[in-house]
Amino acid sequence: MNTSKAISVSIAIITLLSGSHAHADDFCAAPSALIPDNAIAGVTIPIEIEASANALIDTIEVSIEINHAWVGDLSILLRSPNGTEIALLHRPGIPSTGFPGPFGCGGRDINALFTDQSAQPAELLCSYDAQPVITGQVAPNQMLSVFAGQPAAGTWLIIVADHSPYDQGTLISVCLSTNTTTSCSPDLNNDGNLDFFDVSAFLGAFSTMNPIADFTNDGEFNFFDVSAFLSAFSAGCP
Amino acid sequence: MSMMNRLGVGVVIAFLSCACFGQSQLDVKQVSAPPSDIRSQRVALPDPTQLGVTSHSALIEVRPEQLEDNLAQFSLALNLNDRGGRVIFMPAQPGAWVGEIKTNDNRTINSRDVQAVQGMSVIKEPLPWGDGQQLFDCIDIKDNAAGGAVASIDFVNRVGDHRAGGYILYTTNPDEGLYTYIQTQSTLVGSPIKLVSSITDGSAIVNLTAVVRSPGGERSEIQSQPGSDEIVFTPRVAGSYAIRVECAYRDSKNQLVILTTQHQIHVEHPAVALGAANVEVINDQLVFKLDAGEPNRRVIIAAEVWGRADGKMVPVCWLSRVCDQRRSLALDLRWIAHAGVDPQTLELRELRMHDVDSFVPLQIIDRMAIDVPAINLPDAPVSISPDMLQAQSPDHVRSPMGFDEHIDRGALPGGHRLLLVHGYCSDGNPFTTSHFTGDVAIFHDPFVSKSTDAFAIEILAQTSSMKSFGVAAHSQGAMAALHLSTYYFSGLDWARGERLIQSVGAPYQGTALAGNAAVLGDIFGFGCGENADMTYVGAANWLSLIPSSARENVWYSTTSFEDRPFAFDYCNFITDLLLSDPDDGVIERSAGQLPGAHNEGHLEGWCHTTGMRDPAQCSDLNRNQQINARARR
Repeated sequence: MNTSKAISVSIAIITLLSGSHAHADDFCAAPSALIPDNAIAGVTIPIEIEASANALIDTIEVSIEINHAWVGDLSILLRSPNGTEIALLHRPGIPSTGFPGPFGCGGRDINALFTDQSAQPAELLCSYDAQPVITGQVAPNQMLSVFAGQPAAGTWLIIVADHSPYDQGTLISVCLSTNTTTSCSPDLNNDGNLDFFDVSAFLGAFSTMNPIADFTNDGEFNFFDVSAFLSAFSAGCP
Repeated sequence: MSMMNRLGVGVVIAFLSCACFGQSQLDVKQVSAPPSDIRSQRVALPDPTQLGVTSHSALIEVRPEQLEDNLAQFSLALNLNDRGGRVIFMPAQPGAWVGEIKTNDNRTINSRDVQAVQGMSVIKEPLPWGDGQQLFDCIDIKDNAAGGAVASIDFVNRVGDHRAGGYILYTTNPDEGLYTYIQTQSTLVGSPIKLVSSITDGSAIVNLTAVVRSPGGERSEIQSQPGSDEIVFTPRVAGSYAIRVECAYRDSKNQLVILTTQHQIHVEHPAVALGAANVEVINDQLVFKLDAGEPNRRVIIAAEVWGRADGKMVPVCWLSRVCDQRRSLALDLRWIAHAGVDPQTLELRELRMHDVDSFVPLQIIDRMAIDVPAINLPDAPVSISPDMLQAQSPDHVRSPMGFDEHIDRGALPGGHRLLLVHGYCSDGNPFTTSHFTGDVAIFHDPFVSKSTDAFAIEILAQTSSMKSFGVAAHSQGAMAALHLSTYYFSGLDWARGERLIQSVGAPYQGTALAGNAAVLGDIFGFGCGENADMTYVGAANWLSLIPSSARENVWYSTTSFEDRPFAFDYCNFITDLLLSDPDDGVIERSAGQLPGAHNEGHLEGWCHTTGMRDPAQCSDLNRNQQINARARR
């Protein structure tokens, strides 16, 4: 496994949801790593996402820049810390009928953002003259939404492999753009602070048997809910 | 035509084909060309009057029945007109005849003589399309030996059969020539075919006859109507017909002169007529469906698209593609926007259906109205993009050959190569392999005659293990490579570098030898078989289907014999009588031109193949090194 310097850039806290915080972050690596020719194992680039344990993936996108003489040779995998793996790209142009041919897309280079928001499959983006041949916002082979709800923290892996001889390339850079949600249940007024007003909000909800006060989630409103709230309040939020 | 290359190339890098892509269907391109190709008539059906054969020689048949049992002699008078001449004795059986030339001043030379007589000499020469084993006696009569000479040819029974027939080919170097063209464009079974002859200086024809040999070998002699310059016959079966037109006229000295032209005409079965265009919008294309319900016949459909803009009809683009069961053409809507025409005014013009192998026009429709549904046009493109010129066709086409028969012999799949491609009936790679470096591969399909389309598909099969390749081609191999890059998706499309197809000695406009070889093939065989695609007509029909954008991918050279002062020069003594100078022994310089491509020039001192007077053109170190250095791969 190759190592690389992971760069974490915290962009902003963009929303505050009921009992949760949303974060948008970019985690990038610029390894300029050689992609071994005709080697299925490929090159693996780890990207460390530093987040609290209760930060969960909401959405994730991957921007990647690869210089390669024949993109039809390439596959790109993304693996999450818990082992879930999807193919962002797998030998674009294969199988083909007619264009681009049995060896897939012979175009050069990739500089694209893989996102579920795109309707343009990366696999089908090929031309004789465009360089980079795969560029802009493209749809991955498999949906990135499979990672939704998974913990963000940990080591994510980008695995780029070359499946055919004669053409080589380099993985220039890759970035994971994540939107995560961090749950914070005692912050009942969603102001990002745990203080008197949250206690007051809890008591109000408890007295009116508002479900948000059912901290034990048993449908009843009793001492145990008060105890659970106080414990969570004491533990604080990230 | 590579014509039995005998160069001892010892290195064969690899057989290139691969079993990994067993294809029973071909991925064909929807070819388009801009209006400029229509205006320049680059993609127009050729004018048959421009595709004739000019001859300054006569090929006279000697039939066994002309010889009496006890008199094995045949005489022919040659009026040399102070220009000398050449006579070639071509007995059906080697050595069956002895030819003798007598001049008015009683000098005599015998074709067995090894010593030259003053003003006359004998050489032995093979036909370039034969196996090189049979040598024919050729007598060269110099200018100063002329003066009303008479040639008399004595047949001496040297092989036990004095009835052996054959041919005598001669020229007296007349100023005028016989020009014969095939007026009929669609040469189809059951339809009359007309050949029109004239003497180039306008002299009146005294007598005009033709001998027609059908594909089955039947001979028929046809006499023109009195005063007519036309020979007409109606073919009853499909295939190649060999025709020898014999014309007698009187020259300026009122002497009777005989000249002949030889032709090969390919005749096809009529096709089921194309139906009216049913138009559909599929994705961003307007698809003209012309289904004719004739399965398993591969054809090329081509048409011009016209529409009205600013009150007048203007060309929109030209379309063409290979079809089999489904006959259709697809028009990228961007062409309509580019031309600025009203889609409701579109019509097809010069709609043609060609046989994919012989390129014989099976049907020609001057104009076809089309009913275009309502469409939303895209924005007009700023310029014509490559994907407007070639796009994926909606239908596949069945391959005439199986790719699985090709065996991978070890080459690692996926390379980027320079492919050295030989020509018609070659015994192997004609290029000097040591002149090439890097990733080089050799096409290998020896001793066969294939149509240009079948040849192209063979290249496709042998390159199926390559990601990309460029081509260095000799002779018909260049036509096949150009046809492949025009009509089929292949590794040629992904080649990178400067020059995609580089050729030498390619008969882009045909060769007169095709017709002569067809006639002489009766007796001497025709290499690996007749090949209609290399006649003037066959090549012109094919070229009318190759747009400028495809031709721009070709860099070509021609060569000819070294032209020394005061010497009679040639690459092959026999074919020199049949071709117009300068030639390389097989291809005339003029017919080796590919308008719209890159002409790399003409070089003297090199002949088409080995066994000719000057070295073989594919052994030219300078050219080969340049091809190697500048090739796309």
